[in-house]
Amino acid sequence: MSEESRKGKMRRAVPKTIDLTAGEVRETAAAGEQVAADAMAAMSAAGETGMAGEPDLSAGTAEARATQTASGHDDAPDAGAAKTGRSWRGLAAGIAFAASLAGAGMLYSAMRNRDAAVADNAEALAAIDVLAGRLAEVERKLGEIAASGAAVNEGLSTQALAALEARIAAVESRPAAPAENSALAAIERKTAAYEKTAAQSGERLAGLAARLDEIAARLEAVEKSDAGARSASLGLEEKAASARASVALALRSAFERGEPFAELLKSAEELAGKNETFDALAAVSATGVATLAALRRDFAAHGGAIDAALSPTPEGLAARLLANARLLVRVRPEGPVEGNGPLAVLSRIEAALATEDLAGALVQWEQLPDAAKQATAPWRRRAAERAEASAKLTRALALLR
Amino acid sequence: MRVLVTRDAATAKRSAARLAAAGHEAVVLPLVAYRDRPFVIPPGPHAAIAFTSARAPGALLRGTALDASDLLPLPCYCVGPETIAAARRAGFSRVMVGEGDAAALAARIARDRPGPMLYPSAENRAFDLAAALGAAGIAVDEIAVYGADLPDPGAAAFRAALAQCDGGAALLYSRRTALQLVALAARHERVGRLAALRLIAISPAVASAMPAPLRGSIRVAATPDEPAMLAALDAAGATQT
Repeated sequence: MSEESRKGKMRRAVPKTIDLTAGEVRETAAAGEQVAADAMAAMSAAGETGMAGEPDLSAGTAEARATQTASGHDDAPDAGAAKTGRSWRGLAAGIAFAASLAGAGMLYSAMRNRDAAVADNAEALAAIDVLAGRLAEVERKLGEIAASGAAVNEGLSTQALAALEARIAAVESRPAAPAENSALAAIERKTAAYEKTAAQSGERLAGLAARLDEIAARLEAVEKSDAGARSASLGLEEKAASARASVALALRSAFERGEPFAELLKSAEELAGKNETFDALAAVSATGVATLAALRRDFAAHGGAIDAALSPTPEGLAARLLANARLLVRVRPEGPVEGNGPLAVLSRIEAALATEDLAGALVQWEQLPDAAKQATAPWRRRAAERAEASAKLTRALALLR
Repeated sequence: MRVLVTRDAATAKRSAARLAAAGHEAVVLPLVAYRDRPFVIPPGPHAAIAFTSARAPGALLRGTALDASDLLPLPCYCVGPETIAAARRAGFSRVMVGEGDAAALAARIARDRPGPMLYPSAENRAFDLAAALGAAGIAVDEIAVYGADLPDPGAAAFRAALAQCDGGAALLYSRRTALQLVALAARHERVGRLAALRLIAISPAVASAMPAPLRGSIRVAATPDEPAMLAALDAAGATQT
């Protein structure tokens, strides 16, 4: 027993340092539980052996173990240890505190050991006191450790759990589509939008292509019809040009022949478009005009009258005979002759008529002596009518193109 | 024989020389005047070119602001020998002659099917080659490279020219100039003189375009070219004398 106490002292003299780290708390707490279990076993063994005063080896071992275990906390303040060890009450209080946790059996054994040893060995008592103090301290520490461990555990679990819970909650509270998913969803939305846009673009493209096809087809149709129209218009234009030439030719021919040309004039006006030039020809077109051949012939027929008018009244028989002979022979110059004499004028009139220059012939006619003018006045009227109508017809035909 | 030539002044000179060589006297009365006009050559590509007028090759190369020399190697379908000569003068090397008029040329092209055609033509064409080829399924880019105007030389010049070739003949080179000749004769009181002329048409198309009263006096050249017209002129003179 004393040997065991010495052992405890001796062991106590070799303190160990334990860093109370969070990771070791649980281990320490488990060790404390083991100590409590051993103490209970020791207590029951002491009860069996009665007051033999000799605790069995197992109890001593348990005690030693407890001491060994407690020695791990030797770095605890000595003030604490002294205070708990001052009195039984203090020890009891410490034991009571510790018993609620573990090691009560061991303390009981220690008390009984002490009761037995009081009379014999004060030193042992003192050692027990010290031991008890130490034990109480250990118990307290254990309690503290356990409490703090629990607290730590509690705190740990609380904090960690809170953190974990917070994280889990955070995770759980995340929307059904978490960040990645929401990004994915956004991508999916965008993709869908793009696909929709693409589809719409495709539709638009298809629409445009269809429209393009339609336009191309219409263009082709237009081009074909345009080609056809051009061809037709070309043919039409050719026909119209031919028609205009035909009407012009017929109109002038009818005019030249002295025929009425009202119908042809109407045709010409239809081709050329309404114009007052056609109206100016309306009256003469109903009757036609004298032909150039007739006017030439008639002018020549007026020759005798003209000659007579031009010739001064012959004096004497010889002169009259000569004059008659001139009328019969018609001595005239060939072709147009220059000069102001009546014969020169006559030559130019006849030359103009020969070249179908009725207007020129009429200009020359103005230079004839009054007597000749009077003699040919009816001819001049017919010739002028034709010339005026011809000039109007020329203007009208100029419209026909 | 005095022969009225109604071609444009420049071409009429060559005709006058040819007539003189054949023992005739040309009375030149241009009833058509050509002018180049600006145009843009379609991008193509073109497999061949069609010319229905001797004026077109030169006008094609003159009228474009861009270098048209890349067109020169293209095969050219030409309506007749004069057009071929004009194409050669312009620098075209691969020239092919048609078989008469523009319609025959269109038929030839439709047979050959060379590919997309470039058709430099006049503003007013006698035959719509593009439409004919389009109907045959051949793409044609038609461009008007020159214009043709029909001037009125005036009553005096017209009458003088007709008086000059009285009893002679008139060569009808195209539908438009032939009809212009008729219109001017009517306008300037010379229908009788015109009717008195022996009329030689370059093609049946030109002859058929003439008013019915004149058709009876028209002879048509065996081939649509000037030598054939002179041959017809000689034949007409022979039968009349």
